[in-house]
This record gives sequence, C-alpha cells and structure tokens, in this order.
Amino acid sequence: VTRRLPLEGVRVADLSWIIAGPYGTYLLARMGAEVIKIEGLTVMDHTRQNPPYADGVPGLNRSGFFNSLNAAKKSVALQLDEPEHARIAREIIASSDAVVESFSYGTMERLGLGQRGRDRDLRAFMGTVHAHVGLNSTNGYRGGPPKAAGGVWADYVTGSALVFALLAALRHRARTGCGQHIDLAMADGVVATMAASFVDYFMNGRVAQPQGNESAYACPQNAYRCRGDDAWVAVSVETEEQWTALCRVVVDPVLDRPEYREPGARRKDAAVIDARITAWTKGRTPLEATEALQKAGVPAGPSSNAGDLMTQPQLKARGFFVAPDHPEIGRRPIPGLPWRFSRWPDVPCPRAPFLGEHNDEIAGGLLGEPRAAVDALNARRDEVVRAKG
Amino acid sequence: MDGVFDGLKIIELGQGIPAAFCTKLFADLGAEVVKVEPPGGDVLRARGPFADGEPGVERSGLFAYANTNKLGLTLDVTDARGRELFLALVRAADVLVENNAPVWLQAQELDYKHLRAAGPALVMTSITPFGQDGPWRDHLANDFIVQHTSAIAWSNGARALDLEAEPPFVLPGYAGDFATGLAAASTTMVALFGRDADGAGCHVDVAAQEVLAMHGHLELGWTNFAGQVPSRSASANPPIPYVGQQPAADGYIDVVVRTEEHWRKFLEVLGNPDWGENELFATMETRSRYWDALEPLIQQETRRFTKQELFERSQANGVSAAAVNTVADAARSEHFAERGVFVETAHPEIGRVRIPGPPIAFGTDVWRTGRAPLLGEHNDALLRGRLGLSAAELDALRAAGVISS
Repeated sequence: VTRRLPLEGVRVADLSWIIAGPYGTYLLARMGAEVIKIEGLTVMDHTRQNPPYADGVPGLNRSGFFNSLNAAKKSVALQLDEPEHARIAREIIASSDAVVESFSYGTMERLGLGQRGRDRDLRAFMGTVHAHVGLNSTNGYRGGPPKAAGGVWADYVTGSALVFALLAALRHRARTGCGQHIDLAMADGVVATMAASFVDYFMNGRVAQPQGNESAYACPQNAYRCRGDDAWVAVSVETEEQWTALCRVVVDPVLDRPEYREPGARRKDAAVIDARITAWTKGRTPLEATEALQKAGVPAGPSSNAGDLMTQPQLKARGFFVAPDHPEIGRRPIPGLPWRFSRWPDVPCPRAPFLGEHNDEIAGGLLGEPRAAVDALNARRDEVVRAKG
Repeated sequence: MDGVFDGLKIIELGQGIPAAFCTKLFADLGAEVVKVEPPGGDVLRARGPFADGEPGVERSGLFAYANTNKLGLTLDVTDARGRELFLALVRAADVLVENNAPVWLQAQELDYKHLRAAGPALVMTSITPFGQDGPWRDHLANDFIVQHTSAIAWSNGARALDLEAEPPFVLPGYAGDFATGLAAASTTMVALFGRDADGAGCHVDVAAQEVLAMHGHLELGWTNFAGQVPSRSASANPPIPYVGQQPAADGYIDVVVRTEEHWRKFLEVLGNPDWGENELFATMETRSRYWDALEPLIQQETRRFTKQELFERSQANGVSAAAVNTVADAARSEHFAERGVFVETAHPEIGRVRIPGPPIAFGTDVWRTGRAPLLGEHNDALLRGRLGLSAAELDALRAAGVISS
C-alpha cells in the first residue's frame, strides 16, 4: 500500500492540553495521522482562550498559540463529566489506534476512560519541572543565581518523545497484537537532555553551576553586541584554525598576540578578548558579522528572536514557516516541521479546527450516532461559542 | 514491547551527540546499531566529563552515555577499501543515521544519491545544523550557535534587568544536541512506519535549527498573530505575578500561582503574614501593579524556610511549587530512584557508571542497560564474522590505518 503520507490510517484520540501533548499530536497529524482532539465545553484547551490573539482580538478561533499547535487536527466538543458525552468519548477511543492524555494522575480513571513513582500526584507546571530536575540550577550567567530555563523546553522535548514512543508502540502492536500504556514524564525527557551534568556528578561528584555562554571546549565563545536594537551575534571558536581565521576577520593588534594561539591564555584573558571582538561586531548587524566570520571559517550565527526567525535567510529558503488558510483570521505563518522527507516533499497543513467542528464527521459519520444525538452535541457547542465568541 | 526493534539494523556514521543519541534510543530498545567511528575515534571521546576528571579515549562519560548498547567499528570511509566495507554494511542495513557536513559526504560519494543505489529500502537520516539545502547549508555551527540562531538563547535570556550586561545565553550541557537527536529518532520512526507499509525507504533531512525553532510557538504567535515582536527586557514585560523563583534559606524555590485560590493557599504556606490582608495585593492585577513592593515581602518570608520545607508545605497545601534542585539533589531524589530515572552500566575501563535511564516508560520494562563499545571493539566480529574478511586482510587494513590498531 502506498500512502499519500506515512501515518495515513492511524487514528489518535487526543485528550491532551496546552503544549507537550498537542505538540506531539501536531507532528503526528502533519505526517498523516487522523488526530481527533476531544475538547471540553466548559474547560477547554487553555491555549484556545489565551493570547496572543490575531490582531489582539479575543476569540475561540483566534489564538496564535492554539492555531499553531493544533493545525491539521479535528475537533469534537464533549463535556466529559456528563455520562452521554463520556460514552461518545469512549467510543472515539475504542475506534482509535492510540489515545493521548495529559490529565493529572487518576483523572482518566475517574472519567471512566482509563503511571508509577512517589511524585506522580505533584502539581507541576512546565516551569516547576525545570526547577525540580535541576535544569534551572545549571542555567544562568557564571556566578549568578539560577535562571528559569527559557521557552518551554520540557514540553517540546516531551512532545517530540511522544512521536517516537507512540510509533514504537504501534510497531509493537502490529507485530504482536498487544497494546500498552506509555508513561511519558516530562522530567525524564529533560533529564536526558541534561546528561552531561548528571554524568559529571555521578563520575566526579561535581555539581554543575551556571556558566552562561561559556564552554570548556571553546574560547572565545559568547554572544557579541551588534548594531541594532538588542542585536547580538553568537561566535564559538573551538579550534586553533578557527582562532586564526577569526584574527584574519577581526583585525586587532591585541588579538594578534602570539600567546593567544594557546587556548589557555585566551581563556585567562577572555574578558579582554570579548571586548576586542565587540569593538568589531558593534558596527555590524548580526547577519553582516555572521557572513564575514563564516566566510573565513569561524562558527557564527545571529542570536535571533521570533521576529528575526521570520526574516532569517536560511529558514526562508527552506520554507520553514507555513501559513494555513483560516476563514476568520486569514493566513498567519506558523512553524512548520522540524524535518523533511524525500518521499513526502509536500506535506499539507490544514488549519486548526474550530471548537467541535468535526462533531458531525466523527460522532455522526465515524461512530454512526443518530442524528438527534449529533444535533444535541452541536447545540451544546453552539451555546458555548455564542457565549465565548 | 519485547523485540519491537528485533532484527532492525542501523548504521551510525556520526560524531558528537545528535546522531549518537538518535541511534541510542533504538539500540536501547533492541535494534542492532553499528557505530562507525574514524580510526582515531569519535570527537565525543575527547570531550568531558571524564571519569575521575582524567581524559582518555575510553573515559568520556558523555560518550559512555550516548552510545550504550551499540557495536563499535572503526573505519576510515575516506579510504577506498574503508568506503567499500562501509557500503557493504549499509547494503545489509535498514537505517543509516549520520551527522556529517553535506559537502564532505558528497565528496566521499556517500550522500543519499549514491547510497540509494545500495538499496531503495534504505532509510537515511541526515542531521546537520541547518539542513541539506539553503544559503547556510555549509555554515559551521555547534549546539551553542544553533541555540542562538533558533531563538532558544533569546528566550533563555529573556526578562533581563540590564539588556547590555545580560546577553541571550544557551541552555547548558549541549541540551539542544540531545533534543535534536530525539527529534531525529522520532522522524526516523515516521520513515520506518511508511516503509513498513510498502517497503520504500527515503532520505530524512533533520536541521537542528528547525528542531529548536519549533519551540518558538508562543513568541512566534505574538509576532505573527498579534503583530508584536517581544522584548527581552524585564521592564517591557510587566511581571506576571506567578511568584516564580524566590530565595529560600539554602537555595531557591519556584512557585506557580495562577488563581486567587492558589494565592490564598500560598499565603498559608508562608504562615499568613500581615501584609497578605493588604488590599493592594488582593488580585492578580493589583499584585502585578505593585509587584516591586510585594516581592521583597514575599522574600522575607520564603527566606525563613529551607527549599525542601517550602516545597513540602506547598505541595501539602495544593500549591504548585518545586525546590530549585541542584544536580546533586535531583541525582539523590527518592522519586527519581523509584522511577528508575538513572541506571547503572558496567564499563571495563571506568567501572560502574550511573547515567540517565530511559526517557520513556513503556508498558513493560524493555530498555537494555548494556554499555558503550570500546574503540574498534567489534572490528573483528563485523569485518571477519559478518563481511568475511581474512585475518591477513584485517592486518593489512590495520597497517594502513583504515581501522584502529
């Protein structure tokens, strides 16, 4: 069987919220899985009801966060604490290959839809996961206090792991006919990305401390101030060849000292060297500095923010952003996929669903619920939409 | 899950973390992974942390972690004989994972165009900083550069008090390399899933910058939906009074207060200080407005407790909080021990090493805890046993430096 997309034929019932689960199921949906997002009527995915909204105007279909993370999925709106709605959810799950949920421990069992370890009942948001596993204690500027890890690291790492875990389990099921419960703890994924710190502790008893942009294997290595508003270029010199190349570009008698060919001497005078490099970078934009350094063979790149990503030449050339057509808010670019396949060069990206948009298709079509039952679901959904916009 | 990858053969031609971590996940679950290193060894072998702080080709803890359960082969693929042997291994494999510069791979005629001829069922996963095409394809970069170009460093350095003194900075420990390896494992699974249906392989192009730029949904939402480019400056971002990281007597605590109920409960954790009654702090909105006055008052209270006391009091009272644990705290955590977050692997040179364990708990315990291979440990088994070379041929390869001695 040749499929149009690799995961065609895989159906996923998705009860997950916010980022980790939705990011994982977004990737599955883009690769062809039919992802049915089961959304609550009173408590829905927080991202649906939170800014950033398109043009700053609130609305259930206007959140940038929601529309990015839920593109290519279908939506059925169900109030899971009502027996009739819970029954429909159970039917969707029964007709699916996998169910993904991110409720707190015990909720699936309580809803009649149904992990290990002492802390499983902890109330944990993403931020506290980073603190709990030790990531924040190693994050920050050298000598400074711990800093909360930026972005939402744990969530995206977990979402990415979800794809691997779920497909491995489906492969297992295809071979043995057996399904299983997968327990994806955000903490475990983050610990894997912190292996260097943990291994150092276990082998040497060293407790990692914040070190900012510094590294034991590159000097100079830092972000250097450029021309422009909060503009910086990242530079990392790992080899002697790269140091010589840097000295050819950043022509400066201080840097040209023969003793600086020794990494140890450079490390000792890192502040002086950083100041001399800054004297060169601050007259240039991050892209100008990057081009000059890369041309000479020095690892460098603009330290970018979200706005910069939109205009960055590499992401642009690669077509990283996609802009699904949305009747209410028009085309807005969202980050597309973290990978390309030679076999599937054009992966479509349908927009994120409206609340309960697929009630008819799923409850009526897939499950064959009677018309009256589907109408009742739609009536409840429309009530919510009228109230919340 | 027993045997989910039984019979799956993977070749890794990688240096450093991303390709190694990608194939480690398969190896730990039972796939046969042959790690092909240059005769001098993977660059990761020269990178610490080292056992007892002493460098050595078999002493890198990072290498020992990222290469568990693999077979080790040294082979100079730039040599014509080395290349032929490599091709013979690839012909018999299901998957090749590599993270080499595209120009280098093309120069060796080992790019997908050439390898596809070795077998149309081959799944080849290529991991690079910026991808297989585009103007930055050949740019030099490491995890540090990629974290900066993908906006990870920007959001990590956000809420700066002094923008000039606080540049964007990276997450520690090559965190981005591990995230990239994980994404590469996920996408390799997608390609294998497609291949299971019809037997056709493909080339998978994973760009580390794109893996990490996917983390920017929220900031990109502000830019592309609301038309606002966010600022890193703390003063441009009115504090969200989630309480956040605050000092304890012996470290820090991180508290998330999202509702008025959480706030009341958090005041109970602090022992209901008098200022809790002040109407200036009555709502999320007013707490945000008077945060500069409120924060020192909170800190006065939090400093009276240890981080563990604050953590336990918060959890008991329904407040989402975590001690800002050090790596030592986390390594000694009973919860982590119970979950098996760390495992032990026995290594002939550096002894028993504890390393992070499986990032995913499947229904049954299926993760293998074998060690990483020594340099060229399986040269004989693979070259003689599998490819049928004679002892004399092996000696000749050794003498010519095509394999390690």
